[in-house]
Amino acid sequence: MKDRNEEIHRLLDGDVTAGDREAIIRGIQDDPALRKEFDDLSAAVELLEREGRVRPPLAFTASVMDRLPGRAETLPSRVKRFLFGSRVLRWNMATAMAIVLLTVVTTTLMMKQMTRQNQEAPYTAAGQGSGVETVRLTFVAPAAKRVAVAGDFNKWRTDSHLMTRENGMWTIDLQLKPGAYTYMFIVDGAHWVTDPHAESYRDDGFGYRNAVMKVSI
Amino acid sequence: MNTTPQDDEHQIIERCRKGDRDAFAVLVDRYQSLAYTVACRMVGDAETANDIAQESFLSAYTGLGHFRFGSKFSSWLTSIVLNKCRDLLRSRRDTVGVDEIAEIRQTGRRDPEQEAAAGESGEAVQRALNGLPPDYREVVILKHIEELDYQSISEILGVGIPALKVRAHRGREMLRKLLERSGVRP
Repeated sequence: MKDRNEEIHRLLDGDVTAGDREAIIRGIQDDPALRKEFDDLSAAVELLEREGRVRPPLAFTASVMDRLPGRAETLPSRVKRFLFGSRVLRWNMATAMAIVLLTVVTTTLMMKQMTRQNQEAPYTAAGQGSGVETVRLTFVAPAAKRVAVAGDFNKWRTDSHLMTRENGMWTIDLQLKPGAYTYMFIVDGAHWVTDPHAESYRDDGFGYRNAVMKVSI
Repeated sequence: MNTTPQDDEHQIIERCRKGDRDAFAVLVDRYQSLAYTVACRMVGDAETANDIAQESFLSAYTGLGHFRFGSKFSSWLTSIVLNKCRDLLRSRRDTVGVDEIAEIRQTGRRDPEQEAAAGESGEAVQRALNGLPPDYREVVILKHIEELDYQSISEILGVGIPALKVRAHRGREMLRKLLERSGVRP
């Protein structure tokens, strides 16, 4: 029986010639006990073989590559990897929301700042940092509700340079390049008034006198 | 001139030795299933198997200088995986009590109907494998799951073919009994 049992295992190992195989199978079929032994062992092996391989996790290769020890890199290759190497961005919802909030706040503040600068010096902004001077104009009109200044520096627009009031005194700071500029105050949107303290005056050809200011570095 | 997969693999290994990490990724991709399966079947749980398989590739990467170009990379890698599995099983044996080992070996007998349902999922097969002594288990896995011949198994384990056949023989007998005991009709 022991020898016959050995033969079963030789069959399961595929360790027999074709002739031996037939003889062994005939012997097994003639012996009910041996046949049961063979059937049970074959079924156990078949069950095992049917299970086969186990599929590794999807990110297996990436995980191994992430864990590989680093090698000594030359400076140029480190710079190249820093500039062109791909990166995995790990994020969570809280971080993403914080970044979005920061972006919105920064953009809003920048837009407000730009709008304010445009209102203050829409025609001189390009000259900032290249010989632009700040000129302060003042005008006393305690009863006025709104005072603006218009001149050739803002193409005589009456709504772009509003003056601010403090104790009845209206003031505005203008960013202007060196040169001579004519201007007038507009009180409450209707009355054009010449600056009584201008450096000089120039007739406008329509019966009024424009104030003149000279800006120099 | 025709190149064999073996030639191709040797070229990849040469590139790895020169520090080409992309070449190593090719090897990992090619043999991840082998390493993971052997580890999984040896230790019996997916998370530990994943750690062992990954560690094995890292060991292979750092030890590529010792790889001999007469043998197959897959055989060398499998021997690394099995060494790590043996270390783990040894440490488990040192930390797990005798009663618990007996419990693992018995693999918790269940109602035959329940067991039959689980058997199809492979749970019963894995529990039966867990019940084999490690040196039988590794031969059974390499022979019947990885479908390697005894010559290759001998190269991996460093054990002679006659001894391997004895282990396979006894391993199959034990496997059959464990499956029967847990109510699964092989």
